[in-house]
Amino acid sequence: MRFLSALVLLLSSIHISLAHEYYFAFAEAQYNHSTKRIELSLSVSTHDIEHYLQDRGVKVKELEDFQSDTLMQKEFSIELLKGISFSINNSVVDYKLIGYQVNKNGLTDFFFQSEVIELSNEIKVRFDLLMNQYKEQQNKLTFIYNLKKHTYPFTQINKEQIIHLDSNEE
Amino acid sequence: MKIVYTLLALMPLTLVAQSKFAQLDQELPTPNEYRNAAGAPGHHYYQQKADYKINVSINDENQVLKGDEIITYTNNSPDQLDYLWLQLDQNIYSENSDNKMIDIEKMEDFKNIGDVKKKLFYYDGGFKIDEITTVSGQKMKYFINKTMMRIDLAKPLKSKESISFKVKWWYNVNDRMAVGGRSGYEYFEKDKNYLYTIAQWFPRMCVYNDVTGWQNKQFLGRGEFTLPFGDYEVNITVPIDHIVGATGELQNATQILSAKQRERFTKAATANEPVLIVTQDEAIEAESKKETKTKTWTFKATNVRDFAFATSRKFIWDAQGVEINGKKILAMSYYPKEGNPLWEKYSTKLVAHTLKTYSKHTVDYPYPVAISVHAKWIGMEYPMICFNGGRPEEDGTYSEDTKYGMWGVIIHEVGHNFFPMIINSDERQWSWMDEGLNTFVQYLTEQEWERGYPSRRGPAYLIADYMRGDKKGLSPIMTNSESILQFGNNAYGKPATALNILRETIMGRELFDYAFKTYCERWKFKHPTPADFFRTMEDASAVDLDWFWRGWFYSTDNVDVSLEKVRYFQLNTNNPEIEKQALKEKDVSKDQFIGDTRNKTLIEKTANENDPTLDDFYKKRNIYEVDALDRLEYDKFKNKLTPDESKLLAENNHFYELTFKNIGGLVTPLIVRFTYSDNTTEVVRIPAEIWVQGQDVVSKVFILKKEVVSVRVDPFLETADTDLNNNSWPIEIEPTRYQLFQQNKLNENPMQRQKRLEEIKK
Repeated sequence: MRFLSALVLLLSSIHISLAHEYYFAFAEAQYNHSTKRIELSLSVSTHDIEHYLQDRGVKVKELEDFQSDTLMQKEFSIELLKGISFSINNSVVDYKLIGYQVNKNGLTDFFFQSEVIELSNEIKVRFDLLMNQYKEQQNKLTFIYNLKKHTYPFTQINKEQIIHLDSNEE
Repeated sequence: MKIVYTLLALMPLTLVAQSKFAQLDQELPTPNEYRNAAGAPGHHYYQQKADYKINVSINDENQVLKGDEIITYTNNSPDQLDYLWLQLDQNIYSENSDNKMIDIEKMEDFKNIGDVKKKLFYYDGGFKIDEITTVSGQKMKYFINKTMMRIDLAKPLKSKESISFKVKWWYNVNDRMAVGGRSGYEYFEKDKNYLYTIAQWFPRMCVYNDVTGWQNKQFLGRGEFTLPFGDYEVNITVPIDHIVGATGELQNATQILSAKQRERFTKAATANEPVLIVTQDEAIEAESKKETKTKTWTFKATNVRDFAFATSRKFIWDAQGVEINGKKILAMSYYPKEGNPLWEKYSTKLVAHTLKTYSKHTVDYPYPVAISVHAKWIGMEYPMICFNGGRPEEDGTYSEDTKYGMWGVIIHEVGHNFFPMIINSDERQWSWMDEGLNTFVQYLTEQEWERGYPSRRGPAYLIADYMRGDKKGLSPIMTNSESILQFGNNAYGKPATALNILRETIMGRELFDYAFKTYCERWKFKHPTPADFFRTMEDASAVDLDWFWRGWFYSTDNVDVSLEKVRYFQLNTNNPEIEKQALKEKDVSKDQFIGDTRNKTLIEKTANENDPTLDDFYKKRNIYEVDALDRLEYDKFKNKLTPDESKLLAENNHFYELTFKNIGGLVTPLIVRFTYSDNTTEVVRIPAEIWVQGQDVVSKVFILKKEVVSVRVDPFLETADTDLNNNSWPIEIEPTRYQLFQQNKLNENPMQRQKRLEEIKK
């Protein structure tokens, strides 16, 4: 049954051309110099992410129902982090989901905090969340460093980007 | 040699200025007798007409749709037509359709057996054309090219002539939940019933006009439909216990509906609240009986561009009257019990509300009915009828997200009656002309439905994430429907935002609303193009918007203006009493070299302090002292001034030179808010033409009565500025989403607060 629903969802993602197509996830990340952690938020279409999680066997109908369910949130976190990763000096940064909020406008924001890290001048980011689910999916990351915003697009043919940080940047 | 340098230096500036503010003459088609330069239909504007008489039946046992139709096609063009083109949209489900073949795939996509089964999934879709004949039964020659069918005429169809012919076809209705699609059926396992939402179900005439000739671009799945207007008479045969909702008015209610249903139907027409014509209990009873006999529902629709219907024995049906400028319209909903409690409470009221607000902003709703049908997951529009998602949980509960999702989709799809069903743009070519304009009016409608409605699209600041940063991966709005990258943001969100910015910031509501309504009135029941829209908006408002269309519709630039510098000045009053005192204060307050400060105490006495005879004229004079000569010269200066100049000088104004940099490339007005030392504020609006000379950096001097403590650019979030961190002086940093979440987390939630409040009351 689970297999069937997964099949149904995948097929519909391929053929349905609805009047409401979103297919965009936005991430915003900032390095907090005092805690030495990256603070990350992911903004995704609620329905898209519900379908994505269901498809991966996470028993979630409505995200709203799990605001205080830490076990379920751990599952969300595992699945979401398969879609976004930061590597510094060839080491993947570990993140912890600290919460999420389901907004009335159909978007859900997930909030993550990284382990303590030393930032280097180069960060490799892979951000292909939902790209296997929806062929039109594109993502965007805004990395804030020393108050400046750097925005990087991620597409089906360009799932990775290198962030070059200039420490002299104001 | 010097001349050459000057020229070289000036050329890049000139080119930039030309590209941002150049008129759109080269991009837009030359006005002609069909479409004039004002953006209105020209004096020889024409459009074709396609009338249909259709018989259709649905077999509820095997989900096969069979139909036959007589199409009467009238050639109003000045051209002679040797052949006709019809659309065969169902062929998108044919085994080797382009839609499937152009899907880009990689081996990484086949990670498990499910992915392989998905690839190999087979459904025998597509039109099966039995025959095409003349009305008298003679076979006609035709050729099917994927989703298009050409009928070769025995003799050319001359201008002002009509031709009638018959088409007979059938197809397997798609399982919408498995195959997807804008239409199809949903099977309800629990009660073993089907709910059909049927559209693109008959061979339909293509548009032939002065812009494209035959609009026969293949249907690849995204670019929707462009269809000529016509009159329809449709007989729909379904199981006897089915309830049918369709484009048009029911013609045979006396044979189809029970006396009780007819009585309720009549009552609904004048009711201000939805009246149930088929109740939930009645629908549940029908679900269990599953009648096999059939009956035929007959509908007629005049001046529509398409026909769709929905049928099921599961349908609950309600309706209420809506009055639009004296004309009564019936707002109706059809939904299974699975849609309740949301649908019974909201659907028809949303239909009624949408008709009212759209009629206010566009044209009066011209049709007799407007219908919302519940269909899980989708949102899709047809004349007078649309299929909408929004399904509660099985236990009858629903999330706020589901509720707002349902509200939004109903408003949006009912709104499509206006764009493109009435204002009939070419969806196959330009998705934004219906989706973008519709999303814009959807936003206005949502805001009139509930104060503070969390609209997802419309407000300028909501598009900033999409438009920010690297322009790779973005398309201009003026991109063919199939080639658009990021369809939702591009075809829905960005144009809706652009129109909102025009309305709120560039033109103002009065000018915009008049021009927008003029466009709608000019092109209702006609086929407008982008140029007609752009030209009408300017023609009816006297606002040159070519730079706006160029930036927002033809480029992928974004708005990012930084406030680079703020410089402060005051006028020299020439009054020695003021200026010398000011000089003294300035000297006293300026930073002191540390050595001088220490020397004041550590050097007990200098040589000249011990021996005052060392001091000469220069040492003794007081440069801050006002003497008779100063006063005499000031008197002379005052005598030269006119009374107005004297008054101006006495006002003691503050001068601020602000420097702005256009980082994003998109030309925008500058909205600047000054906050004064007394905490009052003033907003100055500078038109976008400040960038007309093509500079990336501009400065402006503001002469203000009061001293400024801070400056903010775009304080009302109305320009879609993609980086607000560079908008302030002194610098103000916007909190990240993460920081906002953390801040909110520290506070109690509203329910916790309510609890505390109740404890205090005890």
